[in-house]
Amino acid sequence: MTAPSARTEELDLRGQVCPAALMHALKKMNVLRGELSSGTVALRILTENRESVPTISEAARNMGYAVAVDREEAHYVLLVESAGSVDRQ
Amino acid sequence: MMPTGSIHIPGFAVGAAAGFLMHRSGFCLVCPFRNFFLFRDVFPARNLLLAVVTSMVLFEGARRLGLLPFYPFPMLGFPSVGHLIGGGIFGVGMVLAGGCVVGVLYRMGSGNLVAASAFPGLLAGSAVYAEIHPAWSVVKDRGTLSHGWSTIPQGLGIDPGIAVIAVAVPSVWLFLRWSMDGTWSRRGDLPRGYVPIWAAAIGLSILGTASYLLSGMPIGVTTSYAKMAGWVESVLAPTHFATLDFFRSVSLDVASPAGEILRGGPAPVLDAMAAIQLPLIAGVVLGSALSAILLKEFRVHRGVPPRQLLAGFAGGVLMGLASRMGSGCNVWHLLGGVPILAAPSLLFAAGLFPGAWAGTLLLRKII
Repeated sequence: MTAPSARTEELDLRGQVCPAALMHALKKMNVLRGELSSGTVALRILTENRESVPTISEAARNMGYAVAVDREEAHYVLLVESAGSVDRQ
Repeated sequence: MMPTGSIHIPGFAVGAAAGFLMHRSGFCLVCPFRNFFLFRDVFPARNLLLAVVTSMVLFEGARRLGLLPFYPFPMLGFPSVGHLIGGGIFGVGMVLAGGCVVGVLYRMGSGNLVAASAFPGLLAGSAVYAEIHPAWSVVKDRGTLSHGWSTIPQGLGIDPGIAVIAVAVPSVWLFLRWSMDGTWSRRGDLPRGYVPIWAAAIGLSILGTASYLLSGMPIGVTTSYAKMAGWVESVLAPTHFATLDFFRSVSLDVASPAGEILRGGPAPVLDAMAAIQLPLIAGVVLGSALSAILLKEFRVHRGVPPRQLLAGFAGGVLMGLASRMGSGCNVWHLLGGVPILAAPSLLFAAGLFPGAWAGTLLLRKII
């Protein structure tokens, strides 16, 4: 769940395979590191590559974020946000 | 072993089961090399080792029971520096394409366009090889390290079982250790209908053994890519096609234990090679498509960055070229030759490491 005040950014990786999908996700999480950690931004990652679901969610958790995975239509949505903002809810 | 005239349905079934398993698990033969160099991630390498050792034990068990029609299997050849170079070029290609010659098939089956861009590249690479075949044959022949043996046990003059035990026992100890450490599963979230990669590794080893028992050789597909390239070239440029020795070469020419002559090669004709490989190729694509459709995940997404499509095509070209230079692809060598400790396959596998490393350097610039 995203904190009510948080802005959500979207990264559409549909159609991309590993490692490009993971590399793009890591790059985006690094660019947004400060805002993700403070809870002011949540990152919605869209992927249809099944291999990317465990690898991106594992990488995000290793970076200290909370991740929620859901499926919409034919793709997966990974919501990456501050672990703190999830704890507060 | 089945007569090639009736191999189509079992071959298709093996391919379909492999495609289904690979789509569900994400089992990949590129990740063990690429992920180590990119992310220092050794998780996929563990699963590759599991697949290799399981195949090794199953092949040896089948050999001891007298079930293998050929040992070693046909088309291995003798170890040459050409296998090492082929592996190196293949390693670059598989990283750029985001999948190997079979990975491309199963991803294509689920609707992925990057994989679909690699497929024509595989055919183009096979056609490029046809141009250099005479010169490369000389290089490969001069670089041959032994004309007397193909496998390490043959070279050492020992029973293959001793070599299998020497590899399998420490590997099983490692597997048990990893099992106790809980490192056989990813810690991340899993997609729907997920099959654990370790289970897919064992499943693919069983399918590879089934292929060996049924057709006399492990899973391999790339000679058929050369056949497809030859067919395209024979239609588009028939005069030039007629000058290419490669498409008249014969890579398979053996008699089965039942006395059937198995003969085939890259020529665009329906020979024994086509009977074995084409149903397998169709099976992998359709098995993966079935898995994606059942999960309601089949979708062709058009918004792929053009750079990735180009990288996919270029990777396909390199893999198509290298699989002919190295007398087989990564699946053939890693899950077929390495399990019987075939020296050509070990050389090809050794070449994959520097190739994959170079591929990751290129990929970082492209992505």
